[in-house]
Parts: sequence; structure tokens; C-alpha cells
Amino acid sequence: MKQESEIVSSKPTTKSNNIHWCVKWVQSILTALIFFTIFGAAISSRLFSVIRFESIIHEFDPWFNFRATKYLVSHSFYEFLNWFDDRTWYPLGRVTGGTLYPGLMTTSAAVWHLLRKIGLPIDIRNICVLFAPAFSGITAWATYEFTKEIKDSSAGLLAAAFMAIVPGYISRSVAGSYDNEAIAITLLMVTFMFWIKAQKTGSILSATAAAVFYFYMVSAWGGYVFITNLIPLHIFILILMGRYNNRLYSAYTTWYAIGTLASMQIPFVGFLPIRSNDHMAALGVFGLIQIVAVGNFVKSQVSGKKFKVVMLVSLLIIFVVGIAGLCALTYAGFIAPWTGRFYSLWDTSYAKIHIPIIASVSEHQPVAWPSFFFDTHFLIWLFPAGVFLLFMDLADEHVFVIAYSVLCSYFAGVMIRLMLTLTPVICVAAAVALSKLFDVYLNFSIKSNSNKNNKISYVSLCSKVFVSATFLFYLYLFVYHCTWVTSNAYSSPSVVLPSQTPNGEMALIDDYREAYYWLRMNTAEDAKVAAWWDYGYQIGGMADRTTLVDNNTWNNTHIAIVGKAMASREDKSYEILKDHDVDYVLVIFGGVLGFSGDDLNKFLWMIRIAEGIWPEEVKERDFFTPQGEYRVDAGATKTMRESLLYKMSYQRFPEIYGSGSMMDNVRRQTISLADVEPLDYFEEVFTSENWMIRIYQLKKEDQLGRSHKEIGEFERSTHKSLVRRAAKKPDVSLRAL
Amino acid sequence: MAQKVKNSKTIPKSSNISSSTKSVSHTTNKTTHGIFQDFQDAFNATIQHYWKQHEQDKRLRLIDIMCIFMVVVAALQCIFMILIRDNFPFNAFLSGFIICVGQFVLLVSLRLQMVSDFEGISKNRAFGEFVIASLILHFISLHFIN
Amino acid sequence: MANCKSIFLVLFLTLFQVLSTFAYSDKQLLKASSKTSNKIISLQDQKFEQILRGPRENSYILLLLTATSPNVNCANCLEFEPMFANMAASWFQDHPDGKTLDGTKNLFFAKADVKDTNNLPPIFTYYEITHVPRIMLFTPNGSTKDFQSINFDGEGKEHVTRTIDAVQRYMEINEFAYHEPIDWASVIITSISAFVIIFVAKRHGDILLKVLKMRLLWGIGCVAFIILMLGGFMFNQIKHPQLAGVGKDGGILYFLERETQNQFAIETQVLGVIYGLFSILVVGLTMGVPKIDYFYSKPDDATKVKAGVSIILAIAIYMVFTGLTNIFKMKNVGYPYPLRSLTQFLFH
Repeated sequence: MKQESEIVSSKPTTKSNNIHWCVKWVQSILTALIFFTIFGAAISSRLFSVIRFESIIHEFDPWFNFRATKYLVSHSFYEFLNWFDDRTWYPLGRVTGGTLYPGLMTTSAAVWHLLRKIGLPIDIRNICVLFAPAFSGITAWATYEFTKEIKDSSAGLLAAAFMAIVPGYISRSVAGSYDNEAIAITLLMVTFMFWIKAQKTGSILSATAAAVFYFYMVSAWGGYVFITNLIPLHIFILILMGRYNNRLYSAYTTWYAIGTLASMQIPFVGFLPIRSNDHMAALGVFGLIQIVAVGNFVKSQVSGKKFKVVMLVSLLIIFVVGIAGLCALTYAGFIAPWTGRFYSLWDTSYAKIHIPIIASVSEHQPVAWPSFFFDTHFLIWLFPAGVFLLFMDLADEHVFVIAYSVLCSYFAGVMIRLMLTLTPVICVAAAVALSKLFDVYLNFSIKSNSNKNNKISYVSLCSKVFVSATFLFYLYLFVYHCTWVTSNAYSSPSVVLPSQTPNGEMALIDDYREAYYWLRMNTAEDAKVAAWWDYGYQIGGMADRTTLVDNNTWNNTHIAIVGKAMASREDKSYEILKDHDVDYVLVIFGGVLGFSGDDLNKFLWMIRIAEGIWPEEVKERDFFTPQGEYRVDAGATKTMRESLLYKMSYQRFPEIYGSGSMMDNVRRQTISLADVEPLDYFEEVFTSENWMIRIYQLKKEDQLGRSHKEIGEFERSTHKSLVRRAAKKPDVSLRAL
Repeated sequence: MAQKVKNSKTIPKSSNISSSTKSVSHTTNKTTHGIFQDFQDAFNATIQHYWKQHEQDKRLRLIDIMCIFMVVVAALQCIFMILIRDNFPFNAFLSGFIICVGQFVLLVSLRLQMVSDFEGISKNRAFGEFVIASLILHFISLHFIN
Repeated sequence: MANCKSIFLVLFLTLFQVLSTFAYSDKQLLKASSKTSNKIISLQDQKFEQILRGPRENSYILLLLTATSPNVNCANCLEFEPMFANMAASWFQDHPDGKTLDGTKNLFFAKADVKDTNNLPPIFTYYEITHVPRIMLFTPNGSTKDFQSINFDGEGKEHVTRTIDAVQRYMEINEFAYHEPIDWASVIITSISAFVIIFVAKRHGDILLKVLKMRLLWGIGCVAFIILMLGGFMFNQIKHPQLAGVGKDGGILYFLERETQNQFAIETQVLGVIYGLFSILVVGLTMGVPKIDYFYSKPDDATKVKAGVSIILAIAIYMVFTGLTNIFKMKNVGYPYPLRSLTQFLFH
């Protein structure tokens, strides 16, 4: 429908003005209608999780963002910017106001205040949950405007429709996924849209708008560096192609001057734009374009041949001086070298060797091809074709799309999380390809007039209908695919896990919230909880207890402390944890349920990170059998069996059914009673319904001055049978996850 | 032609360059001599064109004076910073410096549009856009200066 | 006569046994080592015992147990094979007699390789080896059981550095340097290609410039790069998966089934071909078909051909897409929307 409405306009109209006006009216009504449906589709396809579960914040990082937003709503903006959070990273605390990107929280707080002003007091939680779906609608609009500049409005509508429901974007913007990316992709597309407009017209205003949205983007997501480098790259390529013109000058310099100054307002970014190498390309191109502008002015006066010589010589000199200057400044320490995450993009083995904390995050893993298809369906094969078709036209703005797609396809291949930045350009390029195809095959108007032979036009019509029909069918299939992917893969809050009971009914595994609620209600308000960093934000957000480490991985050493405690012998861990005033230790154990993302599976990363700091005390090799296997059953190494995490995970596990041995459903190994040594320094205080979360308390110092080990041995030897643990023992019913 | 060149303030500079190039080119071979000759020609032609532009449009002169002013202010700030050997309120210096650079490029952008219109943007609109962008720039800069 | 023969045989055998029980001294080791071209003593046969038994007065022996047979499919072994040879070469380059610089210790290299899985070298059964590659360092004056196992871990060149570190630690020396072999082939290729490029640039600069400015070339290059990335090329670069799998009946498996987060290296090539086909077909439909007009003088013919070609291309796209969705279904078994192939349409 949408394509046809556009084609109507392209018809050569020699009729009266009246009809033309009428057509325009119908067209704009249709466009509005289409936009309305796109908005509807974008928002409704992201609501699966709310309908299926409830209005809840998902995963890990969003919990922190939610907590920060609540703080912002209840305090003033300046208090927020100066917020020092003493409930995380105990005992260091975290200068939260200066180390976060405030764009997301500020926006949702602004929305909250606005709604209150107009008499709609909505709970801040609901605003946060529905934030991402609402912004996805704006993204679709920005994609439309962007693609309109690239080709025309019919391609724009297609791109907007793709963008609204493509799973690659939905993955980070479902309801409840209240994360920086939710707003960042919107801002990315808006910035690009204004940039393309500025670059095309040379308008200072558009460039300023691009700079302002760039600032907004900087305030929202660390990925802004991508824009910082892509726009200069665009200009640079255009200059290389000899396509410099004055419009580029005014667009780029305006954007850069305002954008750079604005981006330094964000406390977390600070002086990085003039200090760090990530931003130097933009500065370099800024200098280059000044020179090229002067050169262009000279060129208009001097004969071509002379100019060539002049240009070449001066360029050479400037280039050498520039490179030397950059090296000298970096060497002298005025400019920071590239950051670790940046290195890990180019040198793919860098992270693994130097920064295990980056390599340990599953989002930073490379992508196997099925993920691409999974996230974009048939757009994935329209995408290269679209890029090629853009090459055939190759206007200035097409260069931008091409550079974007080449760079981003590489980045997405290296890191799965950057799939998110690739998705918009896939939608745009695929929409261009498809709309070009429809321009040819959905155009039934011309032939019927010029061709007298009806039979021939009938054949041509048939073929056109056939080709169009196949592609419309793919579109139809795309919708089904997207819905399937969204509902199956991207709509789980991961705080509540869906499962099925043996008789096929749907059941929810709510262990996380059960445990966090227990912590909230049963522990002292200033209790400190040690857990692996993945769960830091959730403990802070849901249980409201102080944590040692959390998902903001700013202090590697502190994380390594927790890793070392988990990997060490019980008495040693006790000391470490006591030194940090820890009261409770929380471990995630999936062995009963078959939940593979548990701590024992993350154990290797804990060991590696700890080994990075204390290579003498923690050794990865000690946890592997001589055959190089990672075993937890009778074949496990001594170090493994003595480690705190192992003991905590398997404590009482073999006795669940009273048989004395039990199969670990994740690692498929059988643990028997003899494998698990008793815990002397810690006391089990809570185990959740499905054994997913186990909480242990550090025992108090003995009044008689004995070590806990001695007490334990003493008690075991005297009245073994009398010792009863006070812990709650949940009954276990197995479910398939 | 020679008279017109004399009008420009930069003429001592250019003659300096040419004299020094001549002394160098005595020893070097013909090609480098050719290159310097090219440079000189290009320079002269450009200067000429530049003055012609000024005669045609008085507003350009205003813009150019502003531009020079910006460069001078930026240079003064830099010299000051070097003289006191300290950049303590670094954000203040930065915002002062960048606002000069920013205003300079905005002026140049405006100048380019005054010389020849960009497609779809009239001269008046260009000026309006320039004013808005400058206001935003100054606002941000004020905010940054603290 | 027969008796006589058998006695003779027994005598001969015992003599051989006696002879073979003579252990290898340092000198003999040097002799054995310099006999081979790469200075690595081969322990393929029964002789290994007498070499390893000692008493080697001052000699260390670095033994590599490996399996280069394709049946074993040991990627690490194949990767380490040239590195080990080069380690030996590096050592003997600096120490011609295998002696350390102070002359107190010797180091020799030995290797046993499973070339045929049905015919294991006896040394493997002797040490009950189940995993390859294994690296052992035999200490001086010891028996066959006196050795240090050296861990084989790390990746790529790390194998070498870690092994050398371990050897130096055990031998208490600090002079084992690894010299990268000079790859003459690559040097020659690089210099020749550099020469050719400069020559061409010098002679036919304008042509080269034209080629560099060719939009089509850049277009194809960029699209090829994108397709490579979409096929999971970087996954292969980072994770180094197997090239392909082996099925139950010994055939080659092109796809790692039921794994959406993982792949064989060969899948990138298959996907590259598929995406490439798609691109060609789509570009053909949008740009190629309308150009058919130029080749026909009569508009009627052109229309007919255009109709036919476009239908064929559309069907081809359908077929390739069917292939893609079905491959995806192999990886993600629960996928509900694989396309039905044309044959299924025809026969059902």
C-alpha cells in the first residue's frame, strides 16, 4: 500500500491542479496513517514481557539506571550530579554522579515531571519500563527522515517499518530494558539524520542541531565515540574522492566546534575530547578541512597544473608535521592513548590477554553468523545488495551510509553488543534495495500507455506481479519472524525465568526476587553482601543492601578481591571477607534447575581476574585436572574442591533426595557426599525455592578464641548427629528450564 | 597589478619568502625552483582575488575583521597561558579558546555563503542560522566557563 | 637343521637384546641427534627405551609426543609441529654440540609421532599416553620415569615461549633463544609484488589511478567485505573453531548443528557464497533487468525477455532463501519459518 501511494506521486501529472492537490492530500493522510501503524507496531511488539510477566525492570544494568532515576526524582539535579554512592563498592564507594551517563535518567525524570505537571502522576517505575518502547517509535521516525535523504520517502517508509520491528533493535529496547542503549539508538539516528541534512545543504542550523543531538548522545551512551569518528571519516573520504565543497566545510566545522564544546559538559567525559586519541581523528579532520578550504580558494584562482604541485607539496609537509606532532604529544603524555575497549576492537586477542574483565562479558564475544540472520531475517541479504546499489549512485550522502555499513559490520562481527549499531544501517540499506526493486516492479503505469500490444503488456504485468508478490511474501514472513524472535528470545526479564512444569504448564521461576526480598527483610540495613559483580546492581536495586562490587566495573582490583575470595580456601576467604566487613555471601547455583548462567560456570573468569592481580596465590591451572578438564565431580582437583564457591554451591546438594549423590544438571556430572567438604566458617542462612540462590552468613568469632575449623572438627567428632542446621530447607520439585 | 599587491599589508611577508626562496634556489636544482615559483604565483593570484572580493562586498570586510579578531584573541589566550605556565582553570581556558575557534569557523561558514549561496538557503536565512548557532555556542561556553 | 636355525636365531636375538641394553651416553646422543637433518632424535621404534634410560651424564632430552595423522585430527599437534622443529634448530644454531655455553649441560630434542592410528609407536603404550601433544623433559642421570611434564597451554606462539620458559627453569639456564624462521617464500613474494606495484605505478600510473578510481571495483570490494563479516569471519579469527566436522559415517559436516552461538569455520564460506548469490540476484533484478532494453531493437522482444529473466531471478532468489532458512533451521532447531523448497511444492 505504501509503495503504491508513493508511485502515484511520481506519475507525470498533466491534469489540473485540483487533482494534484487532492492526490497530495491523500498521500499525506496515508503517510500519517502508515506512521501511526508503525508507531503502534513498534510499541506493541515490545510489550510481550509486560503482558507475560509484569511491569518489571529487566536484567542487571537497568536496575542501576532505575535506582539512579529514583534518586534523581527524589533529589535535585545538582545533588544527582554530585551523588556519592556509599552503598556499592564497599568500602570505596563510587562517585556515581561523575561516572555515569546522565542522559537516560534525566530524560525519564523530565518525562515524569512533565506528566505530573499536566495532571498525570505516573509511577516512575512504569515510565522507566515503558521508556524504551516509546523511544523506539521516535527512532522509526528518525530512520524515515534519514532514509528520505538517502533515497526518497518510499524507501524511508520501508526503513521506518523495518526499524520498528527488527529484532536486532528490539533486543535492547523491550519494555523493561531500561538501559542507555534504549535512548542511544534513537539519538544516534537523529544525529545522523541532521548530519546528512547539514552535509547536503550546508545549513548551519542543521549542523547545529546535529551537534546538539550529538551532545545529547554523549550524555547518554559511551558509544558516542562511534559518531565522533564516523562523521570525520565521511568528510575525509569525500575529500579523498575530490568532492570537497563549501557546504561540507560549514556543516563539519559547525558540528565539530559546537559538538566538542558541548560534549565536554558531561562530567564523565570531561576533557577527553581534546585529550584522548579516540577523538583525535575528528580534530585532525577539522584541521584538514581548514587547509582544504584555503586550498580550494587558491584553486579557484590558479591553473590546474600549478595547483596540483602546490597542493601536493603542502599536503605532504602538513601530513608529516601532523603525524609527528600527534606522536610527540602522545609520547609526552598530553594525549591519552586509545582505551582498552578500543584496542580490543582492532586487535582481537588484546582483551583476552590484557583485560580479562572485558573479555569476560558475554556481550563482548564475537558473533557467529546465525545471530545476524536471527536478528535481521531477510534484511541481511538485502543489505549487501543495497550497499552495492548505493555505490552505483554514490552521492555524497551515500558515502556516509557505505562507510557506516563497512565499519559497523566489522565491529558487529567482533562484539555482539555492537550488532545494535549495525541494525539501523541494515534497515536503511535494505530499504533502499527493496524500494529500488519496487520502483521497477511495482510500477504498472508507463507501459500500458506506450505499448499497443496488449498481450505483451500482459506478460510484462504478470512478471512484475510475480516478482513483487515474492518480495511482499518475504515482507510478510519478516513480520512473523520478528514476532517469533521477539517473543521467544528477547522478552524475558531474566529476573524472572519462564519454565514449564512436567505437564506442560507455564511456570515462573522467581528465585532472584525471593532471595533479594529475603535479604531486604531479614538482614540488618547496613549489612554488606559479597557476590560476583553481575549481581551487584540487582542487590543494590532490589535488596537495597551494600555490595562489594557491581556491574560498573571501574575497579578491577576490587573485583579481583571477590574473585580471590571465591577461589581460595575457606579460612583464607574468611579473612579476606572479614577484612571487608562482609556479612553475607551470595552465590548463584544452577545445578538443580539446569540454569547454565550460574557462578560455577563463571568461575573461570573469577579465577582469571584474580590471577591477573595475584598470580602467585590463584592459579587457573590448579582448577583443571591434569588432563585439562574442568570437573566438579569426584575427579575435581583439590584446589577446586577446597574453593569457597565450590563448597557453597554444593553444600547439602548431594543429599537433596537422600541418596547421597546427585547429578548436576548444568555440568552433567554426579556429585557425591564425599566430594563436598563441610563449611566451618560460614553458615547457610537461605536457599531459594529452586536452589538458584544461596546465601551464607559469616560466622562470628568464637568466644573461646578457637578457629572455626577447630570448632567444626570438634563438633563433628562429638555429636555429629545432633547438629541441625537452622536453614530453611525448601522442597524441591524439578522443572525443565 | 603590482600596485594592487602593494596595497596589501602582507606584501613584506611575501617578498621575504620570495627572497629567501631565491637564495635557496641558487643551490638547489631547477625543479625546486619551479615549485617555489608556483607557490609565489599561486599566492599572488589568491591575494589579488581576495581584495577584489572585498571591493565587491563591504560586508565581507566586516566578517574578515571579525575573523582576524578571533584569531588574535585566541592567540592572546594561548600566550597568556604559556606566560603564566599554568592552565589551572582549564575549562575556562578551553571554553575561551574554543569559542574563538567556533566563532571563527561560523564566520567563515557565513562568509562562504555570502560569496555564493548554497542551494536552497538564501543569504538572509544563512545569517539567521548563523545568529542562532552563535547564540547556542555562547550559551554552552558560558555554562562551561563556570 | 631347523633346530640349528632356531638356536641361531635365539642367539642373535639375545645378542641384539644385550646390545640394545647399552644405554646412550651424551656422545651417542649427539651422534644420534646429528644423524637426522633437523637434529631431532626419532623415537618411533623400540629403541626409545635405551635412549631414554640413561645414564645420560649431563644431558636433558626434550621429548614431544604428538600425532600428525589426519585420523587423530589434532589441530594443536599440527600447529606445534613446525614450531618444535624450529625450537630445535634455534637451539643448535646457538649451541652446535647441544652443549650449554658453560659446557656443563646438554640439551637434545626427541620426538615420537602417531602417523598411523592402527600402529602406535611403542613409546605411547609405554607411557600410557591418551592425550597429545605431550611435552616431557628428561633430566640427566635418570631412568625412563624421571621426567618433568611441561604443560601445553596458551595459543599460537605462546606454546613456544611457555615451553622454552619451562625448559630454562628446569635446566637453570638463560640462553635458549627462539629464532623465528625466515620465511623466504613470503619475503620473495613481498619483494616481487612490491617491485611489480612500483613498476606498474611508475610505468602505468594513469591506468593504476583509473583502477583505483573504479567505482565498480570499490563497490564489489566493500560488499565482499561486508558479506565476509556477516558470515561470521571475525568469529573464526577470534575463536579459531574447527574447519569442519566429521559425521558419524565419516563424511564431512559443513554445519555445526543445533548451535546458534557457534559455527565451523567453513560455514563462513558457505554463507559467503549464499549472500553473494543473493546480492547478485537482487542487483540483477533491480539494475540488470531494466537494461535488457538496450540489447533488443524491438521493444516486444525486450519485454518478453525481461519478463522471463525477472521471473527466473525471482525464483532463484526464492530457492537460495529456502536454502538459507533451512540451514538456519539446522542450527536453530525450533525455528518455525523455514521456506518450503520448490520440489516440496511440486510433489505434495
